[in-house]
Amino acid sequence: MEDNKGLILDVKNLAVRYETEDGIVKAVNGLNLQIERGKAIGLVGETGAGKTTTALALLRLVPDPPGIVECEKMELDGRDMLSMSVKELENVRGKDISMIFQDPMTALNPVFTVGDQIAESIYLHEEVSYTEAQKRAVEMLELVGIPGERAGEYPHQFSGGMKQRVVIAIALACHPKLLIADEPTTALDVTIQAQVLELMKELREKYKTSLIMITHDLGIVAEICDEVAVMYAGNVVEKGTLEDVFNRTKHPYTEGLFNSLPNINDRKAMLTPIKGLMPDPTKLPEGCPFHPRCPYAGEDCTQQQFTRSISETHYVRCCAYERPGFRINRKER
Amino acid sequence: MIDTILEVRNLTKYFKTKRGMLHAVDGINFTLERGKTLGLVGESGCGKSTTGRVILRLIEPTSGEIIFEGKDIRKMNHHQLRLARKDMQLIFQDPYSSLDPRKTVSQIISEPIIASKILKSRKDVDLRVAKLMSTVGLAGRLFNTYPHELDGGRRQRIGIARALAMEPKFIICDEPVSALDVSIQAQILNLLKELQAEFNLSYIFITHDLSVVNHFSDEIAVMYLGKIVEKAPAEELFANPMHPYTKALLSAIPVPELGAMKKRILLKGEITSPINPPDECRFAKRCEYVCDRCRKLPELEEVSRDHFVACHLVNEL
Repeated sequence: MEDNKGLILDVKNLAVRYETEDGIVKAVNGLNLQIERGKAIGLVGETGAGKTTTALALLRLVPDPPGIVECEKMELDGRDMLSMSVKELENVRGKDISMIFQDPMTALNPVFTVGDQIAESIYLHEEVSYTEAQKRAVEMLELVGIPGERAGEYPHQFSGGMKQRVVIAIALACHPKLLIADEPTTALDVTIQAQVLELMKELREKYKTSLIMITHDLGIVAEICDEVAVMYAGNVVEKGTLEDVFNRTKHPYTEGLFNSLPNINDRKAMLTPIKGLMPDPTKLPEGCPFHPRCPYAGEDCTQQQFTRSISETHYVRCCAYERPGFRINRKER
Repeated sequence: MIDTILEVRNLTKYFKTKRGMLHAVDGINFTLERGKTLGLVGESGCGKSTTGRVILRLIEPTSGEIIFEGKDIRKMNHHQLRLARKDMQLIFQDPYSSLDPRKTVSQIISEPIIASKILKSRKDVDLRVAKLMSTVGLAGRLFNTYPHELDGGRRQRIGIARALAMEPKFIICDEPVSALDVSIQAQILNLLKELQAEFNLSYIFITHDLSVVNHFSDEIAVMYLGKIVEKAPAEELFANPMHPYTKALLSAIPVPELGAMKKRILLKGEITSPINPPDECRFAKRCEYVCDRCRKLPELEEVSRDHFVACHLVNEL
């Protein structure tokens, strides 16, 4: 960890809260995240876990008001993001760090052609003429598998899967160092999802882009990520390599997530849902936010939690490990 | 003797559009046994939701027969249909837009009871609503709350309670868990299974999520552009998919397991337009095995026991 040269992103103690009339919504609470260059990390969690807010905070795009971001350290490729001016941020966004949004139907501007929309980010960030930018836009379009002659068409002339390809083309147009993909395939059908994932995998290898993949689908994580961070109520509760989290699950919430999934190989098995509901982010429980739903909860769970390291790569935010004889109960899959 | 609750014969629904006839549902046939679940799977635009609505005559079918407990729904007049609908209910996909925001939970659940005049006195209605709420696992204190105060999982429970209010025999579940998180999804799926066992309900379960449908259904029908391309018992379909589309669909599911990487069949090409589709196999444009015979529309044929496939090449692949 001393050698920060290998880190593309280093975030310490990120907290985001939204101060609304109905109370303070604590969306992200003291999150730490480090990503090595060229690696892909999956950010997994359910609605309200703070995944998208984390992504917006990384781009310094949290709307203020009502959003308030506090952070000890946020470095992108060794550069401090927190002290950047608006102008500097504009140069970084789209160039060094870019984002693919969840819904391709609303992410594109309906009154510009897709070619212009891709060319815009190239023209803004690289010193090229507009004609040159448009030429490169056509190349990008072909790279994501859309015939170049369709560059003059408008988003409504494209299907959902193709629109998402256009969004990917925009995000990758300037070969960013870090790509944040926020549920890029949730709005797509499975066969189209398979195509888009395949494309993202290829392009990532080609450009050596680091990736934060925000998703609720553990299947997608297993397919394209190197590491996983499981989020719950604004914090990473478990982080590790795929092996660590999938095969040596440590956090009770991660266990619950896996056990809730229908098993495609054993259709007779009853599902074991996590009992209860996500906590209200305006009134988070004391200590571990998962303890009211946790089957292993004990008295020490209401105390302030901190992250424990299980191995060099595997971290878990749970105090049950101090108890003798504690083990996680994963269903055989 | 098979106890059939619903039989659909040659059901079609065409929509008139500016550019021509949109073939939403194009001559489908199936039967549903009492107490069982038929899963209807397919991607967006394949006609699965339209099928659900046409069966209930929420949309008038273009042609075909819908035989529910021996009677053809299409031949019923308004009054008969109203009575028949007591036995047939629908659970909607989106628990956010399918509940009236100006009504309380109890008003929403009691609406069908009051509308059908089963129970007259206010007290009886309230008692019935309270009982329904406990059946679906809603706490009694939510009796007078409004939907916007509740999360997606609880809202979907309201939708289920409303569907159960008429003590139906048959429920169409249209993507009941797609809008929910996995941990809540499992709660709702378990609830639907328990209710099925308790009240001997028959379900048509419409979804695009193949792992959910596998878990939930006895029989699965795969739809593609208004046609059923393959139909088989759930286990058989997953163990031995025969139609090229089903194979691609199954291979596309991301499995939350390491080392589970299987050979993925990537479909090329875009989907054929459902408006005035050509008289050839609907999947031909995306199929890797396409040949001259595919210019003719294949029929759904029984390939092995209870396993139906609509593909000319089924015995050669």
